[in-house]
Amino acid sequence: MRGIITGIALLFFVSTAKGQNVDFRVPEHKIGVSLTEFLNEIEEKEYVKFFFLPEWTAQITVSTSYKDQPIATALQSILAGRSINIEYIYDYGIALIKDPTADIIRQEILDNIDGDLIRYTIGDSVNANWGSNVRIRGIIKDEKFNEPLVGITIYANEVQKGTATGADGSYSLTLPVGKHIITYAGLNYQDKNIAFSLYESGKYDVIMEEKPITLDEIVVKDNAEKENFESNVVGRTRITAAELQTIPAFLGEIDVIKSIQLLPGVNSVGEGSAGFNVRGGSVDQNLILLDEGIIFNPNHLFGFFSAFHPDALKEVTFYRGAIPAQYGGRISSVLDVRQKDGDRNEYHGSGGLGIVTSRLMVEGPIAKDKVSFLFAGRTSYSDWLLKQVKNDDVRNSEAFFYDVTGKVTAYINKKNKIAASYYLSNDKFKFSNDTAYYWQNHSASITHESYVNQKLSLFNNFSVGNYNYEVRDEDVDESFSWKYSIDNFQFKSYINYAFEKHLLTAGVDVKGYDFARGDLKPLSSSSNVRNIELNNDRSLEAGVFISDEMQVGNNLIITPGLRYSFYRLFGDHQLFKYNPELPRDDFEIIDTVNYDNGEVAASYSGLEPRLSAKYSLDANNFIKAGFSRSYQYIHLLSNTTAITPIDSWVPSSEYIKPQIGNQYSIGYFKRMPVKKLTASVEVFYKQIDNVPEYKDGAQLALKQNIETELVNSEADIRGLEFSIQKDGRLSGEFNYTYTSSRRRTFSQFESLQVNNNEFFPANYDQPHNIKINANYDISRRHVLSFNFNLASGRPITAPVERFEIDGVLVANYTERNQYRIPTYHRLDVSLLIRTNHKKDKKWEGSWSFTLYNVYSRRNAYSVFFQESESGRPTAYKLSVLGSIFPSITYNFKF
Amino acid sequence: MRSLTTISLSFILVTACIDPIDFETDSNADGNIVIDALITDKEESSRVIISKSVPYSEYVSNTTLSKMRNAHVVLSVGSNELIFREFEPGTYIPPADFKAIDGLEYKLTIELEDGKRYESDVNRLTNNADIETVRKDYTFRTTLSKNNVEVSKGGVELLLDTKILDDNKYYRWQFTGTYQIESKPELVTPVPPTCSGIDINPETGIDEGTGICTCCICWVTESENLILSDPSFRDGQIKNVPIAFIENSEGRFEKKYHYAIDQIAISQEEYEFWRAIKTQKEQGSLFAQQVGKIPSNINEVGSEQGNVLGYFSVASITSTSGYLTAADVPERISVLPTLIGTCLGFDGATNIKPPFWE
Repeated sequence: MRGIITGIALLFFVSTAKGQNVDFRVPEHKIGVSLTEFLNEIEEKEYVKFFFLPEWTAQITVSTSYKDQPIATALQSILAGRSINIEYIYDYGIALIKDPTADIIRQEILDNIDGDLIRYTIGDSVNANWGSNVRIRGIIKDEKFNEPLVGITIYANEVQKGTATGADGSYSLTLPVGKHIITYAGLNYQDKNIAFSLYESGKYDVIMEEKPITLDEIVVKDNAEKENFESNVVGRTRITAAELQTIPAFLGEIDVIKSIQLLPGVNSVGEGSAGFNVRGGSVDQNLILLDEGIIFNPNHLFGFFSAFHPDALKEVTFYRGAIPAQYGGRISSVLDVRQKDGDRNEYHGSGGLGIVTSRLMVEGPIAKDKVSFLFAGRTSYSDWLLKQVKNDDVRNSEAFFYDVTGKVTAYINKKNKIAASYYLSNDKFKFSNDTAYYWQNHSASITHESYVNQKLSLFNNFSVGNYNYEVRDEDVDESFSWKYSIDNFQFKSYINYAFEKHLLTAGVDVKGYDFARGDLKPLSSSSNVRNIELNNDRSLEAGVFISDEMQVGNNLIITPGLRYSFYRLFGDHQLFKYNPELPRDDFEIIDTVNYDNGEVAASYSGLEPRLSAKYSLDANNFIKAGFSRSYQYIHLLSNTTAITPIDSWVPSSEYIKPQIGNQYSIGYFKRMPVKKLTASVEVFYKQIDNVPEYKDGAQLALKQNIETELVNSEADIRGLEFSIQKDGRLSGEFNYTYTSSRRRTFSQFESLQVNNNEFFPANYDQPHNIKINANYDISRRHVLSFNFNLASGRPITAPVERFEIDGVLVANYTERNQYRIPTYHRLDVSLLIRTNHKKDKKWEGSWSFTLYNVYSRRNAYSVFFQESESGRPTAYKLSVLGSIFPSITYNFKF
Repeated sequence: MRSLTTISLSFILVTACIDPIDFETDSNADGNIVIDALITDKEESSRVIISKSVPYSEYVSNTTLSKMRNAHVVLSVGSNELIFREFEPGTYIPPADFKAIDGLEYKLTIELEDGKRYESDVNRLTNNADIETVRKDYTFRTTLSKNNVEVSKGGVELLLDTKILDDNKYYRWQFTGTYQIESKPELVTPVPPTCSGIDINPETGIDEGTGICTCCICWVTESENLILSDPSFRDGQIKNVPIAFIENSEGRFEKKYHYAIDQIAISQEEYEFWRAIKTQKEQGSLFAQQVGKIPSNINEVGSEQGNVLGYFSVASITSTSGYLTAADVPERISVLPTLIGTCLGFDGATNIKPPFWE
């Protein structure tokens, strides 16, 4: 850096110099010495003064004799390929000026490379003929099939020269002797960047790794930001594991769900709330997949941590706009999390030691080149630390969680890969001397990928999973265990077929659920608790889908898709018939219909058209638009302040109809390459039918005929997202989202109507949301990150009046969600320090220091109303996090 | 490092905090009609209180202002009608010997001075189980004081067992505790209050008082009216219902402590009414249920607005009472420091000796 600045200063100085140039022939001189010595020797012998920085010249060796050659010719020959020019200073001096262009280009490339930069030397520097050209050649092959690849581009960045492989996969490129960063890039292949020290002609073969199958065929670099920008699907985002690293995390944990929440249109109602809301949709409208297995609750410790092991992740793809036809079952978004295949050649590992949790991941070959494994685990030890606190309430509380994940990948042959993965997350939280909560996710999946040929690939997946929770109380008189569980399986099979300008995807999927909706049991004979067991429900949903991503003309890519889904609820099932003249409740049951085992108790089906289009105005300006309709057949019912682990999923039935959502979105995307900026603005409108709203005072737990607690409603959501992203040393983004998420009940009965059937804000509606995320690379080893989040307070229902009944003060709450809690805002800062930066080191470590909630704002989780100690009705604010929260994590990789 | 770690780990419990905030809400300045109607199977305990609601956060000291006078209150009992009389402003009572009888249908009709009429749903008495026992356990409770200091307090916990009754599991219990306190108003300087029995004439310096102190002995009443059964509890016998924790503090057990428990058998609908109120009181936790409208079973006749605030309860009451004494406290009895002044100044105190006090 200092060199460049000095060089520029010298350049300024010399450019003012005019007059006769130095001109003499080189006298006899030593050979095999550094250029520094050479210049010093000439200075002594001739009337000349050289201006140079020794760090530039010390490494350059003068290996031949330049005796009797003009000094200019000699220096040009010595400096060829070194990006150093000469300038004359009057009649006595010569300045050696470093040309900064190549360095700048080089630095830019280095900045943009994710992962390792391979360094490779061709030839011996002793034999280098500086200033001359040499040839690099080689063959490029595919990792999976070991077949030569056609059309891979080879680009030497500094000299801006490139070529492409021919039919046999070979390439050849002529470049000046010197240092070059060469990028090998190909459609659907991960870019490879290699820093060459090119001294002599030579050979370099490359194995290209395939990118995961995506709907995009245009991928510029393995840089998710760019890809997101150019994605053909509106509202699609891909985050790589490397990008997750620099986002400031609560307690220093790298966190997928928290990273998703940095995107425009994605909110959470605050600390302590599980789940996230996408574009005004409810938490249950997000489909969360881990290696295709459905995860019902991806949270540890009430949403403070996400339950995905950060080191086991390969990539995360998030759809919040037009959802591709191959995904079904949820309305607002798809979070498709894929785990890495273990390294099949070498053993590696990584992990982290934090103050709350520690984690470890190991991977390696089981049979070299054929079968690999990956195992990752994480556990909290906060429970142990809680015990250290000198306070009974804290000491008697327990918080404990862990997750484990494993994957075995077998490369059957060049064209077939089978991977089996298993995932378990487990949580326990026990309040001081009180009730304990346990929740657990299991998911096991097996995936077969077959690359029939360059055009056709086949994908099959079968997964089984379970989500369950238990609430347990050991108190003698009230001891109980309350259990809830969902078993599920999913089978999915589809093909990708690429031909001409089309990428066709077609397939089927089947999902089955078995809901054990609630089982309350006393834990001892002295317990007052009676046994309540709700009937289990079984349901099946299936879909067939087809979509075609096609290029129409030069500027338009459209992806029409169609999905047909159908749903069955099976017996045993008890259907209560209610008096239609009155609101449904336990007293109005007039008949009961019993469905036997396997009998269809409810059935629904529907067509789900999907459309995504991208129109390129030019290379830097795009318009994207999308439409998607989705049916959602299972629902998460909650009437707590925020989503908790013990809310229950229920299947659609006679009374709980499937939610049907239509989303329209359109956006304009602009790239300003010079400023390294991208900007986008998107508007969306989402309308959802049959959203289950709860009636006032609904009692959802352990209720067999839950329909008596619900009222059918419609959601009307509209919004705008504005985003600016900057690349470079200071990188980051600014996102603003406006969302209006409203509900309207439809009930003829006044007692069920919420706000007289007029629109009211959804419980999680936060109209304004600003997110600013900035990362500054202080150096290659130090990254400073800031994260700021501001959101409108979510709505609450506030009392307007009070009265007394039998000596009890009662508040009268009338209109639902007409008030808002105070605005949420928070700043986090983190510093990432890499302990070494050498690529060949066996051990790479980094420290992550994080300050969460820097200015200790007590953001409101809820506002509630109670009598104060003096009996005066008062409004109170509950804040989950009341102070700044520091953390340190040591992360390592080997 | 150690302290940092410790702070970090205890975050959820320690850093979660509750602060009062300013929160402006709209309010109906006129107020809405509130009908608090309780008809029981115990003589002299049935009453109907009619009032108007007050804005939520406004401090109203004189509650009689909001009472509705001169209403015509009629209780239909089967085909008969019973007219209530206004016993005190806004409170209407039936004839002295009235008590609700099992099997009959009750309906309340109210007409206010302005001609507005209100009608309740038809209601019946719900069977009540007898109270089998009230157990007295001496236990300790640890609480965090305001400045986060642990305080362990001993006290008598009252636990109630019902007798077996199969067809009802909805109960509400009311607890009323009473204890006697003594003060020394005669020590007030320079002029003791006249209730001390001392009345010094400032001119003559002669005590012209009655010599009878009416504010030296008081009875303090504390109550809890919102103890609800848990419907997930077994039918039949309910055991160990925690009724009250009577802390060994403020001289509660210095003389003796009187407790009275009313066990009120209620319908499932009434249970929903009380549960909704209880939900309001249990805000302020991560798992708090959202609040909503409180249901009612009284409607304004001919009005689109429908329900009025309040409830018409027909309830069966079983009561029990007794005394707690120093014998129930296995540790040092807390003694109230000498109060200089009138005992009526003590929160919840009255100088009228309760009829049950022996």
